[in-house]
Amino acid sequence: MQQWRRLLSRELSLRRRWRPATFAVVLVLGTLAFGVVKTQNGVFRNNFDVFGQFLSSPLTLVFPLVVALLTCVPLYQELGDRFIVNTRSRIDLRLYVGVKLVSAALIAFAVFFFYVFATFAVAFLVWPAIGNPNVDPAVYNMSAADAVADSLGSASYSSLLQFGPFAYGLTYALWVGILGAAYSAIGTAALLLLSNRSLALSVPFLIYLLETVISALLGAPVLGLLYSAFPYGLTQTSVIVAAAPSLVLIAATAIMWFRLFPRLHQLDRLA
Amino acid sequence: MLGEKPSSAGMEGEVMNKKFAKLLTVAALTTALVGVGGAAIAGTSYVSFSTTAPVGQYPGNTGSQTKTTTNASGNVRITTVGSTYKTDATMCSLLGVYCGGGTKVYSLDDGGSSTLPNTYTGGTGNMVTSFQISTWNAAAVSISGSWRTN
Repeated sequence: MQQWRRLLSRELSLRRRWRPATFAVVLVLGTLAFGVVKTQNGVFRNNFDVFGQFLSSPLTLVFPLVVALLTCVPLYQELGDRFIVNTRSRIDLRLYVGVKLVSAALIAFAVFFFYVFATFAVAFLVWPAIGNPNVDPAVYNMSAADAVADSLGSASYSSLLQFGPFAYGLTYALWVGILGAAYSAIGTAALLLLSNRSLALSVPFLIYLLETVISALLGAPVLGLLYSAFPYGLTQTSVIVAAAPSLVLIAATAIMWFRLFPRLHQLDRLA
Repeated sequence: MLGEKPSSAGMEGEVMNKKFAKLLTVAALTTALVGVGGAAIAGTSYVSFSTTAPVGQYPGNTGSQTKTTTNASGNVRITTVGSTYKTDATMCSLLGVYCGGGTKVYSLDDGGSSTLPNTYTGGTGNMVTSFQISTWNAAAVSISGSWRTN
């Protein structure tokens, strides 16, 4: 247990992981800059619209690819250098892979939790503090009170605003963080299972995109993984329906890892 | 002479004539289409539209109207947006080529309505409302309703 903690803290130490921390800050600043530019050409009915527009960046389309590039590259490099093969005699393989999996998932969770929560804070706290620029419910034939009430039914998960903006922001940031962790776990597994490392890094994105496109073509975009993570631009469905595609993916990922873990020593990539 | 190959200059001339005829046909069709699109409809009454927003958040436009009053906000009433999508809307000129004078309104749903703020000059023809699906859409989405430029 002590060795586990030591390895994990080493893996997560800021000195080794300055890139994710820098990336998280750049991601938030980039998203806000992109959002502020977008707001110049538009008018919003409420702060939820502002939040939705800030998050509706091209990142939503490539979210799992960004997660994989952010969290799986160290393992990608170590597999390429055959580092694991040389380390097997000194460290238990399950411990090594476990540390890689958990550290990647924690980093993905932290970065995307921060990304969503910081964006939420700007839309719901900073924006009103500077006079709610470009927010004008009258343009939508609404009163201010109507616009606030409207935000509860605007998109999936926005019903959580009934518990207060902070509860919504926190819960939604946790959700996107968890999804980031899930996609990093898929990327890590793909790196261990596939001989083509570049393809392995793309697997989370391919699952995300293909499932979203197939759902849309079948006339049920709400069942797409993209909209399960970022539901802006679709009409509201219940929280459970909106979360269902991602919950199925998380369950499948967990089952895959439970089956994969006892068989790590049989994997060609680690032999 | 039978079986004799035509000279290369003759062939080039024939090809050029065919190309010219094709160009004339395309030009005539384009003129006809723009003429229909540009038919002046006074912008103070609601006019129905039905359009399709292509895949990947590309815009779909309404038919055109002529703006009546400078800076007056237009109006849009949405009847349906396909599937569970929502749409953004902007008033544009030049049949949707220039949207810089319009302010975008976001996430309009079935039965939704909004004004369309803009800074266009009265008398400007070829005004349209441009619809863009509010999120990345993997399938084309039909949108119907009515609108006016004012």
